[in-house]
This record gives sequence, structure tokens and C-alpha cells, in this order.
Amino acid sequence: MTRGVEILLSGVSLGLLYALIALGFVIVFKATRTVNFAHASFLLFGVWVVAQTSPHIGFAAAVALGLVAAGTLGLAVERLLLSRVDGRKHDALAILTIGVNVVLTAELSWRIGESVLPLGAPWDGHVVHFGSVVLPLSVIIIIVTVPLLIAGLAAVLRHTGWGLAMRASIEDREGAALAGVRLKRVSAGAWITAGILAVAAGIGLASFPSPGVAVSTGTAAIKALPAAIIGGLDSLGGAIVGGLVIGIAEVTVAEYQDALSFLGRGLGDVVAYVIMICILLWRPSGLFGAKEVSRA
Amino acid sequence: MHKSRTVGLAAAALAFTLAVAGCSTKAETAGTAAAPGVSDSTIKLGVLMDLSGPFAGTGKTILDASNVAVKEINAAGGVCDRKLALVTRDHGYDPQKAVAAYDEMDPQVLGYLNILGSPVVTALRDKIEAKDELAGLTTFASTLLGDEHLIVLGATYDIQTINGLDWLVRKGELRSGDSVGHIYLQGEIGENSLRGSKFAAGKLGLKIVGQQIEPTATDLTSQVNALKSAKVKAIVVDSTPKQAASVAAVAQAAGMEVPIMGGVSTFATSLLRTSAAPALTEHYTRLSGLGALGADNAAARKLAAAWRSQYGKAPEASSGVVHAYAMTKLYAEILGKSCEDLTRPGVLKARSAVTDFKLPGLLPPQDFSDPAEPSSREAQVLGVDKGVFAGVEALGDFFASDLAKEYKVPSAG
Repeated sequence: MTRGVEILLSGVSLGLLYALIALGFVIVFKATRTVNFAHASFLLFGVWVVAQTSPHIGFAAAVALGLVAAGTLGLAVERLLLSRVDGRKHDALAILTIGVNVVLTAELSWRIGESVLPLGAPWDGHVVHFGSVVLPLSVIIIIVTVPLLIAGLAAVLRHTGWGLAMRASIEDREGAALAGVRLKRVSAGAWITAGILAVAAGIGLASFPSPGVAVSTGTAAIKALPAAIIGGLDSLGGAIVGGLVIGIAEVTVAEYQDALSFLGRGLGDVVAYVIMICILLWRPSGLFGAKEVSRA
Repeated sequence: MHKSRTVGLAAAALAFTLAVAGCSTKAETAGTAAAPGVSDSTIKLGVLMDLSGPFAGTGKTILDASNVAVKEINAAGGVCDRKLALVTRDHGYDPQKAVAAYDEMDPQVLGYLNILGSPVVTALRDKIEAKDELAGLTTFASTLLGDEHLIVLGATYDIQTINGLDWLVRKGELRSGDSVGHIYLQGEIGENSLRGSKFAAGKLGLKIVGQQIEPTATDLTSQVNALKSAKVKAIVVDSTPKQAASVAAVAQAAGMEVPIMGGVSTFATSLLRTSAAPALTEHYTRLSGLGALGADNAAARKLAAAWRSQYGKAPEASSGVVHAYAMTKLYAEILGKSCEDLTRPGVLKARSAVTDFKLPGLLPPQDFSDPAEPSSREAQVLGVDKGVFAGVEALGDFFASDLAKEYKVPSAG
């Protein structure tokens, strides 16, 4: 029972972080119909900024700086590179983001090297006991704060002008433009938001019990891509469900690896993709994705 | 006039032919001029590293440490009256790139001082064997023993773990009947080490509770909690340094006051700046077939000083520095025994003549006479100390437990 609760809460915590990353994929996709493969490097860049500045300006200020830095990076990529390509060529844009990811990751890998950079978070090293259940404090913080962040994002999309413009441009891009919606602003806002969400998730991933930021921290973003696809690449709610499914599955498979060894070792690394394939066979647009309608 | 010019040309051709024949006869006699990578003044050795891929940091450290040793060797007069020179190529941890780099550099080098990466070694083994070359490896996997073309330096992962468990029993930290957790990476390192822990557990009356992890796992709380539930009295870890730090920190935070014994690759100097530092200092020790860069002995102090003067700050992987330095000195020793026959087969033959290679303080005696056996069964327990260079110090001398001596390594791979 105790182990079950620990596994569930650890899975939910990891799943919420995947959900944040997946939301970044979804927001950019909704605004530009492009899959952002540079998301992993946004995450790594942001947490690297936090780790580098935290010893000098304190954790809270470093987090603020990291969020601003990643948001600015998202904006710069969109303004300087992607906006120069025809927005209807989604494949070209996606390939361009792969190039951005390769260049940024190579630069950050060179800078970080083999080092592990501590974030200096105040919850580092703390665990909480609920009876016989023992969990890192960071797990509880993630379970409390990430839903608040997601609710805040939903409120922004529902109640602000940018959110309305974004929803309008998704429904009918040309109609929205004719109605005065500035598509460039919608797109820029999406890239900034994606960068911020990536860093928020990265802070969770590099927090205790992880000792800090390493080059491998960025690979979590790749694991969150199946989460976005499972939920439906254009569904915000789907990204959250997809993230939770992947997170809980990953922790559970790791826990019961011996019992599942007949399926081969290393199942935890591929379980996200196995689930993704199964769901796509059942629902090609993901669990909550909009179905493509085409007339012959 | 015409006739004399013809005779002159014929004479010149004859002289040229004789000269060429003379040269080639001389070359065959000397036996060295034709060997790739060997000139009258230089012996060139290849280094195939990951300098741009996932292990680029390790690759750079190995290269830097090799250069420290090459500088020392050349300053002392070189080998076989020649200077050593390294020819380095980056493979980015990509076997295809490694094969291309090998093909390009192979005519330029006598042998390979160091090759990093199991997939790379697997891709190159047949070529190295076909050309009768000798290659040093950055690995401690006993599965690579048994091939005279490959050098695995020091105690292998399985033997390190056997010595470690034996040491914990002798220290009174473990008793017969106790459970020991073993968190290990899938693949060569983890499974090789697990083989050792299972052997030692069988002999010492311990029970191993295994927890396999993936290299990308960041939160090991679940694994540590499982070991806590199993009431283990010690934890053996074979993982990335980041994961080992996570294990130590979570175990301490969860109130597990048990020793944590890490394999040779489980520590990075920068971990001492993280929140895991107190847990590592208090509970973590590392088993290694190599000495510590921060140890209090003349050889370690000399190497640390050379590193500091050339590269400034402490390396992330200090064991990588000691290993690459020792490998370079060993290769020079092998070359020194093949001065009369500086060819690839000559170097290969000289390998088995090295039966007592020592670097006191950094490496226990190494015997390479039998490629199927580890060159040493001795290991050393290292502890974490922020106050010493690179954060790791020796907690005693090198030793080989009776169990490690008795253990049979897996048959040649």
C-alpha cells in the first residue's frame, strides 16, 4: 500500500512536469501548426541560466531570470528564424527547429561538459513523511504548483486578448487575420510561453533528488513529445492527460521491472513510445486531438 | 653520340634500380622503416575519442591526461630514442564515424593508445585484429578480456564490486544474512558489476536486491524506497555520477544510514557543489582499480601538480585522468620492450612481456602476460573529501580479497 502511494505520487509529479513540457509543444503547434523540436534546448538553456546565476543572485531571482531568458530565446528563434520562412511550410519550419536544437544543445553541452550544476533550490535535500510514505519535498511542491500554473495558463487563454486572438487564429487563420488579429503577435506569444513552460518543468526535473543540471536534463523534453501526441497535438487538456499517463507509466514500469523483464530490459525508456503507438492505432489524432476533415 | 646516350641512360637506370633495391634491403633488415607511424624521430599513436558527443567531457579529460603523460615521457628522452606523438580523431560516440576516422588515421599510426566507447570498440575490433594492432581501452569490462589486441587496464567492474563487498564485511558493516541493494545501469558496466556482487553475495551469505535503472533516470527515490523496504544494510551503485548522488541524497533524507559503495565511474568533482555533497561525504565510498588524484602520495601529488599547471581547475572525472595517464605510461613501457621490432606484431608480442608494470600510489602491479585474465585483481577504497584535489582521497592501500582471487572472469568475449 505504502509503495503504491509512493509510486503513484512520484508518477503524478513526473507526469505533471511532462505535462508542462507537452503544453509547450501544444501551444506552439496550435499557434503555428509546427512541432517545435527545439523545445529540449529551450529547457536546457533556461535551467542552465538558473544554475549559473543562482549562487550570485539567489534562487528566486535566478528562476525569474531563467524564465525571462528562455522566453526571450523563444521569441528570438521565432522572430529571427521562423518568421522569415513561409508560415504555411510547416515541414520546413519543423526541420528548422531541429537545426536550432542541434546548435543550441551542442553549445550548451560544451559549456556544461560533465559537470552537474546545482540549482540551489531551498527544498533541496528535504523529504516529507506521511506515516510510512516518504517523498522528496520537491514532489509535493510540484503536485501543488504545477496545476496552479496550468490553471493560470488556461485563464490567460480564456480571458486575455492574446488568448482570444490565439483561439480565433486556430479556428480560422485567414478569418482571424481579416478580423484584425495580428497573427505574428499570436505566434510570438506562443513561442515565449513555450520557453517559459519548458524552464518551469526543467527546474522541477533538476531539483532534488536530482543533484542538479546536467546535459541529460534536456532529454526529458524528448520524452514529453509522446505525451503531447498521445493527448492530441492541438489539445491543451490532452497534453496534461498525456503527461500524466507517461509519467505514471514510466515510474510504474521502473518499479515492476523484474516482473516485466519478460518484455526485455530498459522498458522504462520505451514505454512512452509503446503507449503512443497503441493510442495512435486506436485514435490517429490522439485522445483529444481534433479530427482532420477533408473533402474529396 | 646516340649510342653513348643510350648506354648512359641504361647505366643510370641500373644505378637507380640498385639504389632502390639497396634501400629496400636496408629497410627489411632494420624492420622499422616500413612500420606505420614510426620514423627515425617519432612514434605516432592513435587516440579515438568522443570530443563532440555525449561523452565529450570524458573524451577531453582522457586526451588532456594522455598529453600530460606524453609530455613527461618525451621530456625524459622518449621511447626507443624517439618522441611520442598522438594523432587524435573525434568519433562523437558514433561507430560509423569511428570506422571512417580509423580508416583515415590507420596508415599514420603504429597502434592505438586509447579508444573510448563500447559501441566504437565493437565496430573496430575486427579491423584492429586483422591488422595485428594493440589498442588501449577506456573500460573495465571483463567481457572484453581474452583478446590480446585490447588492453583493459586494472581490476574489472565485477572484481571491483567483489572487493568492495568483502571490504564492507571485514569492516563489520555487513554480516552473513544481510540484504544488499544493488542499483545498476542496464548494459555493460552494470551487468558486469552485478555478476561480481552476486558472486560475492553467494560466498559471503548476503542477499542481493537488484534495481536496474536506465541512464536517463533522474529521480531514484522509488529505487531507494524499495531498498529501504527490503531493509538493506548497504547499497552498491553502478550508475552515472548524477544518479549516484541522487541515491546518496535520497537515502540520507529518508533516514537510511547505510554505506553506499559506488563503482569507479560514479563520481564527478562538481557533485561536491550540489546538495548531495554532505550525503556523499558521510556515506559514499568508491571502489577503484586506480588510485586517487587527491591521494597523499608522491605520484598522485606530481600528477595533480602537472594537471593544475597545464589545465588549472580540478578535472570532473579524476579517475579518467589517472586511467589515461597510466595507460599512456603502460603503452610506452610496451613500446620500450619492442624497440628491436617496432612493428605492429612486434608491439603486440611485447604486450605479454609486461608482467610487473607499476605506478606506485596510482596503480597496483599489473601483469599482461595472459590476455584472458585481468591485469590486476587489486582495488582501493576511495572516500570523498572536499579538502583534497578533485575531491577524492584514498582510504587505504590497494588490496585483492581472497574472493576476488578466487573469482573466474567470464569467458573471453
